[in-house]
Amino acid sequence: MKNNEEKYFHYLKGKMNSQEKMIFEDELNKSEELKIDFEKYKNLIHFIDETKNAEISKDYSESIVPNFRARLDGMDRNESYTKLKYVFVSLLIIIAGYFVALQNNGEKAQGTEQVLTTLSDEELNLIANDFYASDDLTKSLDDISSQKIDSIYAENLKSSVAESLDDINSNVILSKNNVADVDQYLSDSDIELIYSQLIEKKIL
Amino acid sequence: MHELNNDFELIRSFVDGNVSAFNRLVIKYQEKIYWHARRMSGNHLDADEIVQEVLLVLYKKLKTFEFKSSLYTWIYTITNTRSINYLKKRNLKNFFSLDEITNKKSDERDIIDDLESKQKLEKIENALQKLPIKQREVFVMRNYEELSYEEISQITGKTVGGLKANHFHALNKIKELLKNEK
Repeated sequence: MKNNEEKYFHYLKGKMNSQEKMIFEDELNKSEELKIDFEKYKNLIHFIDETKNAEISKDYSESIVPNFRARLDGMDRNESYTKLKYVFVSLLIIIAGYFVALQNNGEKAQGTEQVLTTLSDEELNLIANDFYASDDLTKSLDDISSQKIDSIYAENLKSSVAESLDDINSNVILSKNNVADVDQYLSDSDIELIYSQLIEKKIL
Repeated sequence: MHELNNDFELIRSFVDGNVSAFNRLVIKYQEKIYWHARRMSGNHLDADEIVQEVLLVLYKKLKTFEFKSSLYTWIYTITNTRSINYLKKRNLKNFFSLDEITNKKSDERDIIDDLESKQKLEKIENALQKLPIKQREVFVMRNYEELSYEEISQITGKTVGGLKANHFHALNKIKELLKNEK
């Protein structure tokens, strides 16, 4: 059977003009098949129309808005808790990261100290006398240890060698930032003295 | 026109911060929202959940409503979309659920007072639930809201031809199912 639903729909819902209605009613009269099909459709629509009239209880009807408000308040609270959670977790991560970084620096410094104390006297002398060996060594040290060595080296230079130098030379030495440049002014015993003091102070 | 002004005034009042204006809008349209959700979902519990979701969307988006369509059409579109999304989630949940699917009808409290209406409603709801979502959607809009295919096409975004075909199949199936029920 052809789909006549639109015709049926317009006819039953009063959307046909009088001429269209007449034509349709004429078709119904002429075709038994169409009549039966239309009757089935009409019964279904009538059944549906009856269910359209079902009313929901007043209790439920009156509860919709209050339930919505309660849900909205709950969501606002949840959102605040979620934001707080994110802030708290971020803080924890930052603090944990800080301590991990601190730990790593400490371990590196300790590792370097352990390496240096395992060196023999001959190796230590080589480092003290040979710029390139000491340069290689400082490359494996972190910035903090290198700065400590340099500062103590400079301090010892001031106190132990300044006396043996005339004013001009001592000014030249003390003005230099790169401690390795002043090696040319030091004797082997000076270097050994400085080096032993570094070890004593547990920098090396 | 008066109704449009009324909706417009309520929305404007809500945008200005009057919370009770939103409540009044809800009260005005809540039954239409509920019934469409109920016809799509087939039971009260799911319909109630959909209603709450729709209200939340309205609450958040009402300020952006531009009156390009009537407020009711806009609300109806949201209700339809939310209903379909809810049904898809429900189907997925049921598919993966290892527990026995609970019969929501037996769990629901009685919100329909009239017994005869309740029985008829149950019959048509059972029949509607046997339709695929696409067919159910157009059937409900056509026969309950009495919308034209063009109007349904604007709401759903589907072609008129496709809607007519889906409705034709839905109609035949519903007739068959209700005949068997008798």
